[in-house]
Amino acid sequence: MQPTDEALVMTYLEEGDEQAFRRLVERHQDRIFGYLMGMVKDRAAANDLFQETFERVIKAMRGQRGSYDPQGQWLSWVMSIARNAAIDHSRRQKKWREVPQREDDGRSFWDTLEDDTPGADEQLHRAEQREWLDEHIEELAPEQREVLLLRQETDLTFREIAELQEVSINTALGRMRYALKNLRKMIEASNETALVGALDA
Amino acid sequence: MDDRLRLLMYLYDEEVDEASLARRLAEDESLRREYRHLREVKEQLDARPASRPDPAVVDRVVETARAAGEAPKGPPSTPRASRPARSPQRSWTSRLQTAGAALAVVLLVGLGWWQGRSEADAPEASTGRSAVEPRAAVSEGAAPSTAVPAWDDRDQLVRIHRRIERLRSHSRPDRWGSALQPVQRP
Repeated sequence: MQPTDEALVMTYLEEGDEQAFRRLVERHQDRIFGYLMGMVKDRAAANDLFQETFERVIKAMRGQRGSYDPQGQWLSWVMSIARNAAIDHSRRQKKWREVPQREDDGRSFWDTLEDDTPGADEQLHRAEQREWLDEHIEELAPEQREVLLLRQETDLTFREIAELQEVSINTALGRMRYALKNLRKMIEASNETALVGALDA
Repeated sequence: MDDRLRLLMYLYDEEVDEASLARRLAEDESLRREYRHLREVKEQLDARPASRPDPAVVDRVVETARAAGEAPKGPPSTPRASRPARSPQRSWTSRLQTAGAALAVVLLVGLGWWQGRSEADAPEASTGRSAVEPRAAVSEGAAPSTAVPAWDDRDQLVRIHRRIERLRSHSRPDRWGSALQPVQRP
């Protein structure tokens, strides 16, 4: 049976077991990094923010800075720190939607491939699919995009997202609804364009 | 809560009254269509491959956690060793300093007292007589009522007292008891 997040946190704090902390990081790395990646659209920046987030987390857990409540949900708390880091970054870069970063996301296509599983064709298809969807997600309004990323990438509940954003749960749900509906429209429009292009050819 | 918002919660497996929602879906065609559309988008989003940080970044994070975990065990956070006892030499030095300071205070107080006393005696010195003279007079049997208390140094009173003493001494017979010798005129 897998130890809970809270059990790993206590093992790390009480015994200084960094392997327990590694398990925590590896357990949630996709969620946290996926959210950061969706927010900043830059792999190098997302890596930096991922590290910055955990540096803040470690300081707070060690009681050096900030507050950590061992009774709360660890991931929700970490996500609030990741969110602040992403917002700080966006403010610094002044690219909170005003300047879309399309041309260079800091990675080559080959960087997105992972080892040899599954097959290269499948990887290619997935990478293209992700890139294509990411472009549409980036076109969403910031508040819709953030709810979508938080729910889709980090698996926080709508209630937790509402608390994180300091809005009502209805507002969080409303933003998600518009995010999915707008995304659907974009996908349909994109598919129609592709179909027209194929027919013309 | 609005049925369309409840649909989202159902779509993401969050707690919702499924029986009630199923009933609403059966009744409302537009709600069913919306659910279908939302689900299609979600399926595409779910199919996106996970994005993962570089392994080196995770290693750095874990290294930071290890270093932070060691910090409490290190010297800065361990209880400080007891302060060593003061050396005897330091103790004597400290005592000498205290004694010196006390002696200086005593000397200053004494000097002040002596100076104040000298000033009080100054008018007596100007008369050319000793300050103890009035007391001597009192002890020799003069009227005690005329004696001036030692503590009363009001000038007027002192002057009157000394005048009385002078007059008394002039009118007194020779102390040595011998008869007065007539002055031999050449």
